[in-house]
Amino acid sequence: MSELKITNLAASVEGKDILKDVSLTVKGGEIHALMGPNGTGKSTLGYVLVGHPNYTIKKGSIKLDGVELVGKLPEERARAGLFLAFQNPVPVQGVRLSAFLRTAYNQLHPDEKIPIKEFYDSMKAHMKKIGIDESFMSRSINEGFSGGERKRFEILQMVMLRPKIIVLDEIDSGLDVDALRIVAEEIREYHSQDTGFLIITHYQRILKNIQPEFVHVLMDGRVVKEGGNDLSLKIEDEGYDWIRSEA
Amino acid sequence: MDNDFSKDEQLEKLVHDLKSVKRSEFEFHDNYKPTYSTGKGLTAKTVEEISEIKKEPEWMKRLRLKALEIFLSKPVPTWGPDLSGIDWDNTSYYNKPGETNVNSWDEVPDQIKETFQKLGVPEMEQKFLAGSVAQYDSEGVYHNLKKVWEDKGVVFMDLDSAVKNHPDLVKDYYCKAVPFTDNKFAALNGAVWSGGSFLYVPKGVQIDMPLQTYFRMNGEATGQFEHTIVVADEGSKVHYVEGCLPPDEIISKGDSFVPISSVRTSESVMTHSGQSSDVTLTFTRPYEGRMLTITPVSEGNAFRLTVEHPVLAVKRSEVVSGGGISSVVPTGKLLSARPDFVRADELEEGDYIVYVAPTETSDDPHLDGNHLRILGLFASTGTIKGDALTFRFRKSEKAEDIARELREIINASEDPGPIETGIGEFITVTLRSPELIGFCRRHAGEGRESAVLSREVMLLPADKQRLLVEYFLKGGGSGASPLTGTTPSRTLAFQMQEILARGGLFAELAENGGIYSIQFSPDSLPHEVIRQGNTFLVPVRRITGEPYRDLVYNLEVSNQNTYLVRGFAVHNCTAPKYDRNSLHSAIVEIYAKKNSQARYTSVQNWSKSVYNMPTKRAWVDENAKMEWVGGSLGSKITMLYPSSYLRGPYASASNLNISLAGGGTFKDTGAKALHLAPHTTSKIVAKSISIEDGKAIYRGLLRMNKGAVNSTSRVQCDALLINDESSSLTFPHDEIYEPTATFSHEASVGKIGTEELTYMRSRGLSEDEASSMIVLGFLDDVMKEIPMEFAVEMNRLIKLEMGKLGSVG
Ligand SMILES: Nc1ncnc2c1ncn2[C@@H]1O[C@H](COP(=O)(O)OP(=O)(O)O)[C@@H](O)[C@H]1O
Ligand SMILES: [Mg+2]
Repeated sequence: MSELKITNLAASVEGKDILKDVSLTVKGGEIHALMGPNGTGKSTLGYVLVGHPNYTIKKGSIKLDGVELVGKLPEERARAGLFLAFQNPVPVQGVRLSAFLRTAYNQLHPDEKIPIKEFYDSMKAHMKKIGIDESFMSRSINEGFSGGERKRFEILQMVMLRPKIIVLDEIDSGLDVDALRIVAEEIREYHSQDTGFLIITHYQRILKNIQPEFVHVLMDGRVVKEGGNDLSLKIEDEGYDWIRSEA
Repeated sequence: MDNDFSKDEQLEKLVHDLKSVKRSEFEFHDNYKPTYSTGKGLTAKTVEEISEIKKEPEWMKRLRLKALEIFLSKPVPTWGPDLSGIDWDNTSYYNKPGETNVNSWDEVPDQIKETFQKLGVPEMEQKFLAGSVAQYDSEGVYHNLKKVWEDKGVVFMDLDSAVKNHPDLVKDYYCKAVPFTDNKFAALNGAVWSGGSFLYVPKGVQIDMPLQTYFRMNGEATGQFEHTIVVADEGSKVHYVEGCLPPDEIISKGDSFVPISSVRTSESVMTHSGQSSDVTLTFTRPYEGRMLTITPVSEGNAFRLTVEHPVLAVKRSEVVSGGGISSVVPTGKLLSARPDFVRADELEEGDYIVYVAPTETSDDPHLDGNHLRILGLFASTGTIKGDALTFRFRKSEKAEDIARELREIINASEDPGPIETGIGEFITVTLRSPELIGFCRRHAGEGRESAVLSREVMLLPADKQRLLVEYFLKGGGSGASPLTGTTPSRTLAFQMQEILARGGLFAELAENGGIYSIQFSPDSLPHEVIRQGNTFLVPVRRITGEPYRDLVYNLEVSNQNTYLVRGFAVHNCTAPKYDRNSLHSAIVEIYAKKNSQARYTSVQNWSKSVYNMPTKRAWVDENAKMEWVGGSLGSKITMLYPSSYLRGPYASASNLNISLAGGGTFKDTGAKALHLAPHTTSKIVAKSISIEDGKAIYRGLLRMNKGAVNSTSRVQCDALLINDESSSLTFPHDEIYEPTATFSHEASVGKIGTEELTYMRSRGLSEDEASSMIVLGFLDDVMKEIPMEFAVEMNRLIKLEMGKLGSVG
């Protein structure tokens, strides 16, 4: 069973220390929520996990199924089974969705040789469910996509690429009510004993649809509070100030 | 909506192929010295001298002097890139290569021929290529004309010759589209031009073969000032190609004896070390030029490759002093000779090339003595029909012994099945055991006619393989020394040779009427063949050359960069590199007359120190069609704006330009379209990629004259910035005087920075794949128009720079 184990992680960007001490374990079958006010370093954690080159790890370790990811290339981490749905997915001009997803798939699952037609059929089926028009297949990655379309595309990538540990950074932002329901449905469907989720969000909206068992609150680069789903409900009602004064 | 799978499949393959593009640089310089140079600097005296050396008519000399005046009066343009680095006084403006222009290939100086060959420029006798004009240094030294074209009235020669032979025709067009007054560099060309081509295509004639000019710069600080004029007369059609990326690939066979065209990346091939290595890249391209056939003493191993392809060899001249091919070579010297890579066209008869026996072995206990005996016989005499395997031996005492032995082996096998023995002129043994038949099929194909040994068999230790060879010979060979085996299977012949080589023997292959014979002596090597460990030095018996025009292939192999052609070691092919400080200021004038079509393709990869300032212009008459396709890599500064003057109704022009501005380079490129008549159309697509501090600027001019009614123009500028800091600029300039004319400008700027790369890599793509996908995606809409090697080269340059981005620290 898969397990992401983050221990005493500290990281900086542009010389600024953002993460100070983060420990967190996500196992297959579990759903975790990482909450916290704006600017506390939630997205930073996501970037650090996937190995964004602008972020420097100062100390700590990130292990996926016992294998140290610190020092590994982003593609190696992806091949190990890690997936991040970006908060702000960037457009990549000229790279078609279809070709991109297929290339990625072949990298992540080198032993599975799916004929191109079959792959695209499956892609179309998923797109239909997620509510992305088929015509997007030949569009460039995220180019001219609305905020919501970008998020749906992140979800499409998740279900097509079949990662083990999934980090979703503000997946609900930019989604309207219907889209949120579809995305939540996809997440629930994809969730299994083999997949572990870390859902990053600064407010509780998505957590109504997907009930996390574990809630962690990140503030000022540290996990300051942990609890069950009731913690997220309390944050919904009372905000973060009470945690801040507690800490 | 289109779900264009084939496009994605193509892309997938391209990305895969481009994955590890890297190329070692193979630099050559012949030590040819110009017999005459006007020295450095430029005065009226220099110009007169040039004209005199060329024995030009008076009118051309006067034109040169007039151009010089204009050149001297015009300031260096300052509106674009910084040109203060041009050292006008230290440039030599004219170098004369040989004595006089020559008409016959035999008269071309050897040194120049060699340079042509290094560039893959074909010999003129070659029937396909008779239309090729090669240019050496600053002067066309050779011209020839394909007979059929000549008959149709096509004129294709270097401009110098055209000035003398067709003065009236030249006068009609010379500097009409590009007057000296156009710009300082055009005036310079007018004063000192030398070399370049003149092509006149008469009314209604269609030239469907691309005409080629290959050139490269040679000599220190030599400017190239060629002047090319293409005239497509009414209703004619012509495609003119200019290129600086010389053809340099081969047709060959890999170690597993498959056609090189079927080898794919990530498959393994044998290298000169005797060990296999992955193919990292395959090249395919059309090649027109000389193809050499290298025939070693083992004639069946003869292989073909292009002239510049490096072959592992020991030059005879290095191990013997004088004497030529028949001289005796001291064995001791050969034993210690170290082979080195030699260009194919530097090989001479009597030189030694290197046959390589693979060194990897792996025993397979299932392949025991009896099995190998059966396989040997099967490969030489076996056939499978339906569920029966039949061995057939011509009747003799020995054959009876073998047949008996064979029956015993079959009887001893677990599931013998029924055995039949035929009597008559032949002794036949037939077996029906599915196990044995399956075994034979797996390890030796369908038997005699098409036997191919399995990988397991090829890797067996030498003693086991010997047994196989022994029974192969027993089945159908001759017993007297030298031993000879025969087979109609070419692959098996090469495999047998390889097996014997693994065991330290060199067999000579020969082919006769589709039957291959493998001949060897069990206790000695053929005359003059020397064994060095797992390799054999084998003398070249014959080298022949012939014209060739088809696709050629090349492999790039990791670590070693070598592979074996019919057992012999060659290096993967490398392209020459251009490395001289130079000023290049060419003029290209194109006249597309009524109803004609002209296409001009130019792909240039200049050294990073070159100033490239060509002036290219086309006059496009009524209903004529002009297409410019240009690719510009390298150079320090390039200023290039191919122009189309749409002079007649319904004239059209399209212009595709791709520039790569690498670190330290400045590409100021664009296009001009001048609509001077009604219903004219122009389409301009400009794509630029900037890397590092490379600057790419689009500078365009669109003019719609009053009266150019209903004319339309579309301009598309796409820029791709590679790194987070660079920027690109577009300076479109529109002069619209006709209210009914319509035009559109589209511009896009994409970038590949850390964010884009990280995003793609976080989905499992390597940096290489990500960048290749982006670059290919960027070029997608024009991919069909540009030569493949251009895309490859572009991708390679980009990747070198990409290494500096996005790597995890
Ligand atoms: N590339 C960067 N350069 C400078 N500061 C950054 C960069 N990325 C993030 N930060 C800073 O790090 C802090 C945490 O940001 P982020 O992880 O995006 O917060 P969250 O996702 O919790 O809202 C913020 O103060 C932000 O401004
Ligand atoms: Mg965030």
